[in-house]
Amino acid sequence: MIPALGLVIGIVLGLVLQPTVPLWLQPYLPIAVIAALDAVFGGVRAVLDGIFNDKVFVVSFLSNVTVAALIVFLGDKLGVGSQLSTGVVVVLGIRIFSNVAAIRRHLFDA
Amino acid sequence: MTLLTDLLERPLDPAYGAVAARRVDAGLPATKGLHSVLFTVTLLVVGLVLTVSARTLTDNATARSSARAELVRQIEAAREVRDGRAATVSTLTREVAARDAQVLASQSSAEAGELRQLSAATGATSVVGPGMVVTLDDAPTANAPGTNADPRGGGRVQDGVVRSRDLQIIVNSLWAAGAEAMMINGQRLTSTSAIRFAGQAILVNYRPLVRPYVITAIGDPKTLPARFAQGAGGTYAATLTGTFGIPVGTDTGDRFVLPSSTSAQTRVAVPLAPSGPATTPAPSPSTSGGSS
Repeated sequence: MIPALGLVIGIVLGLVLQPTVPLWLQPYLPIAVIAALDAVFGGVRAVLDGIFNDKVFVVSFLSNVTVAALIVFLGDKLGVGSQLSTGVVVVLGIRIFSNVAAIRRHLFDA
Repeated sequence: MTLLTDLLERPLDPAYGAVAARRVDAGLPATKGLHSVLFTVTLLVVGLVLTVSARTLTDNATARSSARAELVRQIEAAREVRDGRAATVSTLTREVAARDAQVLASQSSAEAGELRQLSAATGATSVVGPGMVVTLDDAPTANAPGTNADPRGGGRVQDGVVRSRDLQIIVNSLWAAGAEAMMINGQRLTSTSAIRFAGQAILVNYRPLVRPYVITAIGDPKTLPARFAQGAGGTYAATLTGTFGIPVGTDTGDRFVLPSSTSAQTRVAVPLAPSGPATTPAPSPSTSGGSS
């Protein structure tokens, strides 16, 4: 329950503090959201599989965000930023859907 | 395909399984539970990222749409100002004409008549008289769905669309046929009027026209339609109809009212003083050339 509290506190903090994101960072926000969601759903599935490990979760979250941001950054420099963003979204999206399907199997046996 | 299969069948980070297997090998339970500071802090960061992104990105969208609305509002305001000023100009022009007539009437009726005649010819006052109307419209096929789906696409103007050149030729041949005053869709043609293309809109007096294009010409109702039909304009109109399917209609009438032009004024050109040499001076480069 305590980790869920952390998530809630994070959301509340974002709502209360209303931090402004610098302009150069804004193109990475959608990618960061997708990468974070991927890590979260992966973590939930690992919990249900009984093999969850906090260190793996943190590392996968950080590496997801970093690699995704790097790909978008490179794409921007090469002039194909939107295409590479789409690629990242597709790959992570497929993973999210598969993880959600596994979670559903665990929870509802369906 | 192996990449896709891998992606679909094993989406869970393999590190989870590897660490769990190592822990089992070491005699520990596969998982050490959810209660860890690291995990809580990371989830806090995740929540923060989600909220901040949602806020920032929606703010962006609203900022863009509000800027757009502001621009639309400015355009509409400027358009209103322009229309108001045009109305003021025509009111003032009428007033000036009335005052001129008053002053001249008190002096000599010959000069008043001459002024009325000149301002009618130059488009400075409204005129009324018999004449004819030539109506052009785009061919029915020109705006059929599919042929003109993207108004800016291709850059090629469709065959069945009326172009500025068509209007120019018709107008010129109407002048040649003896027309004395003319307007297109309410825009009086003067010596400074231009009929030209801007994108796909036809501009007259810098105002875009909306089809159909109605050219009203005042002239002798007995000779004007016949001379137009026999001249270059009639031939051209027949070609437009025959080749491109552009409908061209002509009609005569006893009474057309043409508005005055709001743009009939000169800023740089000044009238030659009447006290100078009576004959028109030949252009002499030494005096009119360029000591500017």
